[in-house]
Amino acid sequence: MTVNTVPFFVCFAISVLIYYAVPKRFRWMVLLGVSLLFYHLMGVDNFIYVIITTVTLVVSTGRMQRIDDRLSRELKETDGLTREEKKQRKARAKTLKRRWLVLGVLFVNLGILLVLKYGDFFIFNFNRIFQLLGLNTVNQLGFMAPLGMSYYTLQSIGYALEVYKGKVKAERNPFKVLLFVTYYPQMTQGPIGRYPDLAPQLFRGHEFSYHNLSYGCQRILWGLFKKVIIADRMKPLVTTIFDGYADASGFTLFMGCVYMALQIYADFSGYTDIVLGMSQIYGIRMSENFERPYFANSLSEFWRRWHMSLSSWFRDYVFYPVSISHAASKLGKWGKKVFGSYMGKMFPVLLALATVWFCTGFWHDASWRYIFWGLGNGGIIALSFILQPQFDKMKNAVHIRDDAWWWRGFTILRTFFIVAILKVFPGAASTQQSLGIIRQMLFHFQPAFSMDTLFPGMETYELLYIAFGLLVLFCVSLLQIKMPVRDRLAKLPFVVRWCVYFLLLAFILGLGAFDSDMVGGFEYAQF
Amino acid sequence: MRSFRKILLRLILIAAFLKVFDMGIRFAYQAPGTTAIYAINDLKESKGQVETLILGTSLVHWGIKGLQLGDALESTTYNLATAAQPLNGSYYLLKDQVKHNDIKRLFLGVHVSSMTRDYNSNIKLREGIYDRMLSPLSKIEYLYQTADYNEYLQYLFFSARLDNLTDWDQVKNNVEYKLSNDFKENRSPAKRKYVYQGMGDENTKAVYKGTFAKKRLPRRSCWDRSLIIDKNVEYLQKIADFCEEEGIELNLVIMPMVQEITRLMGDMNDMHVFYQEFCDKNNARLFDFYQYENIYEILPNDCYQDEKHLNSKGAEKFTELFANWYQEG
Repeated sequence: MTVNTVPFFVCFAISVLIYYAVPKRFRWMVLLGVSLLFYHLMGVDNFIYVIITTVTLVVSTGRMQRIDDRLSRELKETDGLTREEKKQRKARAKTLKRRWLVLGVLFVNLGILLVLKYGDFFIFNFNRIFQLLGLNTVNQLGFMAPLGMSYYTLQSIGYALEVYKGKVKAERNPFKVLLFVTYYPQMTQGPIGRYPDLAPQLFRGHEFSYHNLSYGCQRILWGLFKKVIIADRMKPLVTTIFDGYADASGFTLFMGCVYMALQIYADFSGYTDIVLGMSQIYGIRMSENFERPYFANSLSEFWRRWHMSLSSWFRDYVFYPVSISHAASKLGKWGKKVFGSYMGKMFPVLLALATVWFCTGFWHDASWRYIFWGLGNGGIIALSFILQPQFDKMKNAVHIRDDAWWWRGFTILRTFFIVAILKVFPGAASTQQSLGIIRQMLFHFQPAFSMDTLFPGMETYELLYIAFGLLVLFCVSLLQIKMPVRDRLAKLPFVVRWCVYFLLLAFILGLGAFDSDMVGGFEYAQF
Repeated sequence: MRSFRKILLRLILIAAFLKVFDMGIRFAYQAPGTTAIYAINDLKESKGQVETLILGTSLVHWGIKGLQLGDALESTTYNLATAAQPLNGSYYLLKDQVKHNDIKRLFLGVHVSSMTRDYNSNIKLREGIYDRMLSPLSKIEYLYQTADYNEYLQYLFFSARLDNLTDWDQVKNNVEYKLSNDFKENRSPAKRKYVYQGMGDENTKAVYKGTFAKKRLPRRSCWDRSLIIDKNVEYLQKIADFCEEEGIELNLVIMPMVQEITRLMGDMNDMHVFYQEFCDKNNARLFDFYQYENIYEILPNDCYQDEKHLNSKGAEKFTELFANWYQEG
């Protein structure tokens, strides 16, 4: 049962009624109950991994908190400690905390994820090496990572790191931690919540607010519009092109990448709108995940606007620590010696970028094509950093101003096509297929402008629906630049406002794809 | 309290809009040849009167004339069989009818495919059954028990079933017919090969020309006990149990087909044994027309519109034959 189905909305509506019916201090329990029920209804009977994550989180963060408390008590109660002694105690406390962090969170939680999601990938690749060396191969594990594991593992690690850094106090109630881990709207596809933002909102009972209900419903409607009119209608087009890649021209495959870029955006941002709308109805503001990513002027800006919760997670917990690590500074010194001052400064950043993008690719899926996709993104961003001075010189030489409308338009299009071309990796079913598609695009481009080459397998009316959906999406995105569309709507007279809602409803029902072979889960849930 | 009133008003507004919108789309886009339109009108009109119900697939739908059988049995009879009706569909239709009528007798058409085919995979067939249900609760139960979560919207809203909203010629034709007197009198367009046959007795006059040339039938069209799907047996049993609970007399009917195709359908005697055993166990009667003496002479090929379905002439003859057999006891 996914979030775009009628039974889900019925369950959600009932849960909202119960949420506001019970006394405030029990409301978090309603959320926990619904989250566990949802997890069960999604077909996951095995709660063991969520329980393990919760228990290890509670134990390790609790221990870290105790170490912190003891240290601050010692520092307060013990007079006459020298600065050096205080430093030593702090260092000892940090070492102890790090042990709990590594043992409880990184080792257990990341370990479970590595075994369940990546175990077979490692075995497969080791087997290939064993075969080359003439050694016996190892049997695959055949495990399946439970739904949403990639998301809740990152969220849990983020929480533990915040406790480790002393930025938040550890939650002692295991059920509250369980709620933070399993909060159902974000469980399958994020946004990956940060403990300081999300947890207090989850645990505090919210007053009912008509404003939240109204804004939440609007956001859900908008999410459904994107999902059923754009994403679900485009899905067969993308699938037809990528499935028939062997017979398709490079041009058609290139178009497939462009369609996929649009389809995945509508799908993922549609989901995000739905879950953010649902949360708002409970009175919970989850972090945004998209900020008009296809209006970005560069790939790095794109990644600051796309899947923002994941990008910021990797930025805070991987990029920064790696770029200021001992290894990075050593690399920087070495780079300065060999390549000069500019590249020396670049080296720690490049190391951090490579680590982040390898992890981002690998996090998405245990396959080489996703690693290539991640490294492709990282490589382009790294190149743009390295060559920035040259680009600036060239722009100055031909008098291009960054704020010129045509230049901005060009950079937006350039970024979009880079993002689209990179879809060659996630779009294909295997690494081999990705390479086959790249070969076709490079050596058999053969542009042709017939319906069959541009939109294989599509009927004219379906294209009309998609074009309409994309046009509406584009206009709404333009309107959003200056002011949120919901705020604009709120200023309109009642009748006009409700006409807009009814139109949206009518479009969803009339133009949406509801055939069972089109609809289904959301693309990002597979990660 | 103010918020509650505000929300309630808006919910009513949304519900009213959805109802009007969906009705409008249904009026404009639902083909006037759709038999469910006429069936539901007839069912609403005959609420509280139906005593004998006919359920099953298209074999029964075209083979038994509801009105004629009703006259012969002196009991208001409704033929609620639909194309490729799966047994779970028959079960929920029966349950729905019992809420509105005092059903005394059920004639359930069964055949090879009733046991061997998984008709659940076809959403169009299931929508047809849903559309013939009178009670909203029956609809919800049917939805909950048989539909996939992703399909709910298609059942609930006709507008969600539509593919192409831009076929304006079709809309023009639909609206024209629906504004005509024929439609108001609950008559489906005569241009169609098949016309509505619930309470009424219209059927095609087309005659089977004996051109069936296949040497083999698909596996699931041939009787083979190893191909029986458990779900179908389960629902047949549920029908029998429900009939017993409600005091409804259950009769299974195996419709005849032309001889050329019957020969390819496997061991029909074994099928007879299977259904007979079921009837013996459940206190039901079996009317197997393959066992009927000289059936191929009584219903020669010119009584069929194709190799499986009776035509108007055949249905009249068959209904008479069936009524006699039933009354003879």
